[in-house]
Amino acid sequence: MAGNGIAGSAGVWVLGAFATYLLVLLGIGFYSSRLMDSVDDYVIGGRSIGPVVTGFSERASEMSGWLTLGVPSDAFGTGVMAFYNGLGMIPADLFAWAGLAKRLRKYTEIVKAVTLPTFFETRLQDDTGRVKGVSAFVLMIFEGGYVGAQIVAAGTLLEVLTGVETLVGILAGGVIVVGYTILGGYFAVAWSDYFQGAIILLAFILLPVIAFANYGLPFDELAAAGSSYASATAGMTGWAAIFGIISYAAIGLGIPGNPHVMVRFMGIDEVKNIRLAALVAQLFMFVAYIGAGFVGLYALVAFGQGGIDDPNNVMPMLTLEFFPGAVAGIILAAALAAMMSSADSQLLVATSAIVEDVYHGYVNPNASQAKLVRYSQFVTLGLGSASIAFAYLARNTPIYTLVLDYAWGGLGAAIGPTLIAALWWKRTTAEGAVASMIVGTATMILWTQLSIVVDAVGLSSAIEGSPFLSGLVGVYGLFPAFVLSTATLIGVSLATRPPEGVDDHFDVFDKPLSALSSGDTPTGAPEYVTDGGRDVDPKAVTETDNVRAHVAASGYWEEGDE
Amino acid sequence: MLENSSVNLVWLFGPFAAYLVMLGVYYVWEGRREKRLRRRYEEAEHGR
Repeated sequence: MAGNGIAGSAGVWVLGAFATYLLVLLGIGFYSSRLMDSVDDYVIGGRSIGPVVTGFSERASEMSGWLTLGVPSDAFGTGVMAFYNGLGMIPADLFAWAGLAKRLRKYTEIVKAVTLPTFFETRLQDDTGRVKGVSAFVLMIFEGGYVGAQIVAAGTLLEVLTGVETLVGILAGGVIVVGYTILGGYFAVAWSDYFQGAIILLAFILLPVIAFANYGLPFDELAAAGSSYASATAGMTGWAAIFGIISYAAIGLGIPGNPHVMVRFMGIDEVKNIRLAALVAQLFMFVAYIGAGFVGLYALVAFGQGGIDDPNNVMPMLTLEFFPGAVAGIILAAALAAMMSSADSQLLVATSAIVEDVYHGYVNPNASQAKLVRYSQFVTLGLGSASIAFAYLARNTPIYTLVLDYAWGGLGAAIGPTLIAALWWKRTTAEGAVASMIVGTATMILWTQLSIVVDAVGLSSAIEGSPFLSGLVGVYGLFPAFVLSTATLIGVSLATRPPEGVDDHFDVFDKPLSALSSGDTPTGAPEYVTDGGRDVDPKAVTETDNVRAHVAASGYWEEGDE
Repeated sequence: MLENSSVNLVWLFGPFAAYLVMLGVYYVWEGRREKRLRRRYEEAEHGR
């Protein structure tokens, strides 16, 4: 079976290492399934994941095959400018940890929201269900597509490395991801991300170090291969260079809108640990982005320009060049793991959109926790099967187009502005949020088709004549989509009536969680539930009442009376 | 200016150096903010 791929005889080691690795993951899944008894446990790990695991998992879940295969292949094709893949991502991630994580963690615990749609509904006091419905729909579609894209990448890598059929690779990857997500829910996912993150990080440290020992710094060889490879703007000047840099930087705009990243903030055990988790995640990013860039550059030095036909094979080829079969097997298993870690998180988020937001929110608000866990498992199975089928159908579509344009970018443009505004801007309204989600989604999808539209209406020659316009049309769609989505959110919110009592909501953000909740439960959460969609009797009416009642019932202000 | 014979390292890695400084500032500042917040609420509690 193995031996037909580029790995040659190392293919057996790749499969062997990957099989062992999967057994460990399944072990984690089985172990976690014994610890799980509520839907909160299934979706955000009962808010008991520590800072180091959270930090690693936040990075590993989001970086996916894009980091392990994409950034090296970008560096191989573009040169040193590929280091700018981190240009927007690193500060955007720091911004998310600094500006969003604590607020989201505190607020969602107090209102017992475990998903972003439920958070939006509660914060914006939307009784109509529109905010919850639209946001749940958006993230179900884009996260579902994301899962499919990751499975395609994993299947393709298995095929290329070992020579197995694409269908076998896709089925194997898909079944494993779905299997352990069902078994362990978020708890398994966060821990397996930690495990995967550690391997990826090690690979991206070792590969450049070994290459450096062999070749020294690669910059002179790159300059000899072509001046653009050694240029920080890849040889571009003027508007082309500006829009090129904007495109790289704009990738970071996707962070606040991607729920599988935000859910890490909600799942951390203690608010004070967010600072340490942020440090871990950020250091991970520095090492990973610079390491991945160097991997691509050293591949250019080792194999020469055009020395690798399929750029996606850059990282696997360099690994096989430098390491013996067994070690290469473990490292390449990490690349597969990166894709899996993204897929499982996204599967879980899409599941929660259906079970928690749609089923629990609308269909059966009084469903028991046991029933919700069971249904979550059924839905994960159903969605996972659909994603595997989608992966097979989309197997020839470029993976990075799928991910950046239709999954990462779609979520970033649709959800991001609303998430930031809900946590920071008191004037945000439900109408503004819905309009922003629709505009963000539509712009992102249409922008990727813009060149086709331009051709169809016969404007292509006019655009090619203008450096500004051709740069603008070619810019990464998340940039215009995010800007338009934000402008819509602000415009519509200002034109509509904001929810009442928002000041009380915002008070929550500026207090330690201990001031708002009792310390009786393991996570410090109060017993009563305040989210409108949950099984509360009597059902809570407004969030303002809830926060007030919550503060009163916590007993915090009575402590120390004696 | 820090420059390799063929690549302007300041342009390439300057942003990363700036981000590292930002991370350090965040880590220290956030720690102090958290401590201040807790102290303020503890004082409020004892003041009752």
